[in-house]
Amino acid sequence: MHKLETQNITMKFGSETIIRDISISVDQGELVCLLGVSGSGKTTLFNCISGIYTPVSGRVMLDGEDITGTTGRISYMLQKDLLLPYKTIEDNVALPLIIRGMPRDEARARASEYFEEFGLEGTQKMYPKQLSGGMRQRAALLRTYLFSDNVALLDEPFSALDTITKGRIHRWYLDVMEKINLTTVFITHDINEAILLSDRIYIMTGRPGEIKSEVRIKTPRSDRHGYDLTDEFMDYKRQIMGILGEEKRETE
Amino acid sequence: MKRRLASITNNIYPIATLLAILVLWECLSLFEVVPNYMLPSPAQTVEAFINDFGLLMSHLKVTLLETVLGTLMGVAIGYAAAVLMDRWDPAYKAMYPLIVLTQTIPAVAIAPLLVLWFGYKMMPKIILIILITFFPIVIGVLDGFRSADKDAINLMRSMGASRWQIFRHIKFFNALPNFFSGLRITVAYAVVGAVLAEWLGGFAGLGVYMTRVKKSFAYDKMFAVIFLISIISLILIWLVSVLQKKCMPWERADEVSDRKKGGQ
Repeated sequence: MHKLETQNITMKFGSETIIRDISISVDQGELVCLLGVSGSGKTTLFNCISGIYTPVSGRVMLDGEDITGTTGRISYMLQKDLLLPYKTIEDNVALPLIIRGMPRDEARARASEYFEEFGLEGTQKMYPKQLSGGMRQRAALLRTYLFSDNVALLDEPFSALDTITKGRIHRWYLDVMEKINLTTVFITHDINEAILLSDRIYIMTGRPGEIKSEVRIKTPRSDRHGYDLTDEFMDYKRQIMGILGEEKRETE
Repeated sequence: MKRRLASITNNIYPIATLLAILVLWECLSLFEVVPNYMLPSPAQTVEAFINDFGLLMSHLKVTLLETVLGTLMGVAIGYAAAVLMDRWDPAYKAMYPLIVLTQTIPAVAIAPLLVLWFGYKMMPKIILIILITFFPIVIGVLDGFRSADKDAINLMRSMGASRWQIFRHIKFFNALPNFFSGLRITVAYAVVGAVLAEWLGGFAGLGVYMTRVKKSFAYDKMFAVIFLISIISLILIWLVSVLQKKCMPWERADEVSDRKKGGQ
């Protein structure tokens, strides 16, 4: 049984079909990437999985349980960190626990257990504005992790960061994922990021969004340091660019 | 240190201007350019203030009580209306135009009616202050609720947050800056509103004192009470700022980090 599975999800707004017949699956601890151009409906798919939208047809299964249209089960993280500016980092991070009804002190205590692991030690009492972009994304990821049933959806989480910070946070991300074993679906339009960070890549085509192809990255994630300079990496990149190129020709 | 110095130099300009005006005014009275009974000198005003201090304070107590009660009630009603209009769209559609309409009626015009309907006691004053306070609060707070980040609200929803939790964790805080800027305008208007209503009829309060000294042509006392009113307004505005700083500690946190960045 897969940890998370979407079965033939279709979503429409009015008469326009945004995504059609999407079936993806993610196993426990797996890091799966959705790669596609802007407007291919990746975010709509995420909103369906997280329960903000109820799809027109199809089902979302978590551990074999139908959770279609149910919020509060799968956590979500966007390009904007969405840390609330008026709450301290520890309160921001503990927010999902507080929403679930955990008393504030207990939630803070539980959140603070992870601060060191996420490289956030000493920021507990600070406000988001006092942190750099990279640190804020770490805090947002910790919040996502604390809220999840061990499944997280990340919607272009690092795309707003500058290249150097992005490189650093990629390495950090692979390390922290190794430790916390979080099952993750990751949206990006950055091919390098997709190859570097995932076990499998679903390539999405646009309007309506459909899964075009699936690429499995064979090198284990633990061996990915400096991976983006290898020939194997370039082969994957060529393969994916080829698939995206085909799609472009088809739509033209 | 540098910062403190900057704030002192910034304050020097308005203080110097004020002093210059006072000196000019004292000269105008001293050399009788303007007859003394029409424009008492600053010194005479201060003297009048000291002589009548006890009486002024007893009237001030009444005016302040009206201001505080009226403001509290106006703020509570305004906030409640904003919450209702945010939660329930028909309420918004029905009430919003009416609320704007009420603001086109000048306070000076309704004050006599309120006195006529509710008598000479505290009631008409408080109602007038409620009417004055209500508008900036309801509009500001509602705007704050509505401008809350939609993505943040969606994130909260994906976490399974209830409407109340979304209000408590996002909308409430998002409306705080608007609430305080509304409150700052409001307290100043509220004092003036109280005095205005007292002016039109009452037994005690600074407005009543004002009409009495006016009738006895004691313009030095008139000026004394005018100063007292502006000082009270300034103190109230300052108190709101203090309260805002206490309630919004994250705003100060920004300053700390900015200063750190500047120091690097």
